[in-house]
Amino acid sequence: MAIKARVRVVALFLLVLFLAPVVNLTRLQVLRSEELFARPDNTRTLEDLSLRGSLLDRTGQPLAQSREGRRVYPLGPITGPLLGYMTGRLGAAGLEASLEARTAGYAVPRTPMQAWNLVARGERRGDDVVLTLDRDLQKLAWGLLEGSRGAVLVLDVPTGEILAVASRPSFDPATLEADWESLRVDPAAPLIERGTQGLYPPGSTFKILTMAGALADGRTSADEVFACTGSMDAGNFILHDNAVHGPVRLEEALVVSCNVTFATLGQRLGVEGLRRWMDEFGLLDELPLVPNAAAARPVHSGAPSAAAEAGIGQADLLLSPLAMARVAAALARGGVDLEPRLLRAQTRRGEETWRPAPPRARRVLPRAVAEEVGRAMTAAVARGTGRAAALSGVAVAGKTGTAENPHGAPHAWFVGYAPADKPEVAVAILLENAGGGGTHAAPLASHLLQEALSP
Amino acid sequence: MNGRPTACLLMTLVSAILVLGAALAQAGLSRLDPPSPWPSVGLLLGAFWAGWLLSRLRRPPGDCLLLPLATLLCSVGWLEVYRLGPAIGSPALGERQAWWIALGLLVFVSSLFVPGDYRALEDYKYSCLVIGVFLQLAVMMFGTEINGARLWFEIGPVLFQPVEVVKILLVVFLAAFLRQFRHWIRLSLLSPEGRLPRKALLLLGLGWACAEGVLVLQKDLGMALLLFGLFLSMFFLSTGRRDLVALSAVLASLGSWMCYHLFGHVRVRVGAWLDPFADPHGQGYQMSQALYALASGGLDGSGLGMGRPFLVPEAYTDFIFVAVAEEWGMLGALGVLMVYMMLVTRAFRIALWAGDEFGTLLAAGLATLVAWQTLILVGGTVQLAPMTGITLPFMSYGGSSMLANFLLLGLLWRISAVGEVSGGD
Repeated sequence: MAIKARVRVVALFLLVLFLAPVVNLTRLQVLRSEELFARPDNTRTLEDLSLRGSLLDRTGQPLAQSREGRRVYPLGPITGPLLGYMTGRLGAAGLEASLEARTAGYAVPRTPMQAWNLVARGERRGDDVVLTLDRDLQKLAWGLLEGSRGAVLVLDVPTGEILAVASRPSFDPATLEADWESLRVDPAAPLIERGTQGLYPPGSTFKILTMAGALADGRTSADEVFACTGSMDAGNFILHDNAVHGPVRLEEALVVSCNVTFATLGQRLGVEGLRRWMDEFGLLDELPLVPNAAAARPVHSGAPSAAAEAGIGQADLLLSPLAMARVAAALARGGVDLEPRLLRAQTRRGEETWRPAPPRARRVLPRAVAEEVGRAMTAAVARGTGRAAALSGVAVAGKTGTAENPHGAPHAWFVGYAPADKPEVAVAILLENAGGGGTHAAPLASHLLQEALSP
Repeated sequence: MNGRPTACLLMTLVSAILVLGAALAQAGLSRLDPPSPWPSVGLLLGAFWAGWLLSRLRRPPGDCLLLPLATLLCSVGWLEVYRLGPAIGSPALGERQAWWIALGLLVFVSSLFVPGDYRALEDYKYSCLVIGVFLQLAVMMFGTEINGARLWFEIGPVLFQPVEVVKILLVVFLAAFLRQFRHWIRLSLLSPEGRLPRKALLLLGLGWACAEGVLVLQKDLGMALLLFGLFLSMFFLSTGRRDLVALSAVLASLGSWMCYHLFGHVRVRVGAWLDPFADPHGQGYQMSQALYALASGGLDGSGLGMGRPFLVPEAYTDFIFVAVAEEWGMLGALGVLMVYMMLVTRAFRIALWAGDEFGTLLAAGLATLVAWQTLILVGGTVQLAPMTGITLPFMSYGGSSMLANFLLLGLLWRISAVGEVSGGD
């Protein structure tokens, strides 16, 4: 009977359809299981934190560790937004989220390596991650920001390692869940890490990059004299300087932070030239070893004045304190860039299980150009706008900035390195809406460098 | 019929799984201080064995594998429901589900002992249609609204979901109607002078309109898919008109495409299906949580009471399959799928052995109903289709669906009993 033949056809068809869920279950539960499980919004991984590895500073001191099923942060708000948080209820953020897969423990082993660890050593705990941070320097940097909004960033010049990233306002991870609602809506944005993720107009600190680029491109020379009349035609408006600097040599122009000079250099380089120099310094790249770092934004504005304004770090140019510290560090190395890094190694019981490739040195400027800019920066601290950053017995190279912005009073900046003749650390200090960089940011640099350089 | 001792062994196996599972679940849940599973387990075992023994008393005997398969699914489902209860703050969930299963077995046994012949149903086809349509319209107008959908009647303390019964009534109607008119429909396009093509096309159009109506008016994507799959399968079974089936499939695709573009809620569902991680805390929450549950289950699962299936919203109803996949692992989930395949195969076998055309169509229709419902629901939870709000036969928590499924089982049993005596074809 034909009807029964069709019953067989329909039965076969439906039974074959049952293969689809079989295949997809295999895919989801076995083949893609690890990838799915490791997604950052999967709070299942965070429910049981007792097996999770720690985050350590460069000397092995704990910065984040699991205690009785909870995540604790010995430095509290000092590492607040940088480390982020990890709770069963709120999920994970910051470095905790980025390094989730590295620190994850396993109730059930998911890779042959984990199975081996479990069988051979009874080990279920996740790995530790060693950061490049220096606990003491981090505390110091945090202390300097007392009463301000902003960030302090310290780079180790020989290695490009980040020694400290302090960001204020912050939050206390111990009371995060209770404070969550108010933290989330706080207009001061305490959950945002400002040192590597905050993007700001760099103001006059950017002049070191303008100067280096213009010298390297042959658009100016150390001997050129600029006639500063206190104002200039920037294209579609008159750009006013903070003073009439008269005829100034290039080095002197940086010492007094002459806007007319650097706006002129900006015009000579053009928007595209400035973008190219930001790119040369690596500021537009993602940083694989600094999770979550925000790449700089070059000028997008098409206004005729854009090039002149960008030359003095204004227009719609945005950079993070990390980016400015990277520029200073490259100048400190005589024109050689090293990619900044925050991750040092992954360890299990003190044994390394992963280490990033050693940093690759990349020459971005001729040595003579870097030294010329360095001399001008040293002079700026010795007798110019950055005097408040000076140390006794150690020459400091630096540049201040007072960045105009749409959110109120200007941001105060200081960017520099020390000792000027044999650089060890590079710093970037940013204080949101604090006023002049020379009066507000530079004094902090003096304290910071003194401590960072004392053995 | 020599399968009877084997079937008895299977019932013993089901009992063992239930008892062992309950012990494991209780141990795994010890931190939550769960209610004791043993009163419910006792109730279930009593109901299973009473149903089994009573069904053996009935002469002529029916298919002896239906009950072991259904009770196995009930047991696995009950273990997850019992285990989820304390975790989602309603510890009595397991006990209530055990009562529904016991009542379901009562329905099953009663349906075996209703005097007369299942063929009598054929004469009530229009009554079935009218009752079904009436129930559906009534619930759409006077039902209680839960989660934005009117699918329930509130009768005292219980919620009754008429659609579970309507599905079976619809199968009965279609089986009888198509049995009567199948030759007309089959030949209709061959005789252009007749009036029958219109009737055939009208019927198809009606089925299509019903499915789309459910989709548009009730916003019930799963039910629309189920109705349409059922309708097309039965239409093909009875008439063998591939061209019309293909035409309807094209029309349905067109309808779905239109719905996607016309209705926001359909787009949202489809979006949450294709990329749940685009909005993991909003529309994609349930799906992404389900995927994490599957991923954390892995090959062999976390163990009963040891996983976190309660993180998936509606884990005890729509997403019970995911809860099983997490705690019993992929192996357990594939086992459950295999039991469904066996149940469906068994039902189709009953269709093949039925003594008359109505029996064949009815059994095949019921088999298709179970198959489509399982496929649509499981597909929705393992990201093969948009997720839908229909229940998983014999496993999801819920009284209406449990009772209706045992009624369906009883019908299959009755058809098999007559079929075996008549000796098949």
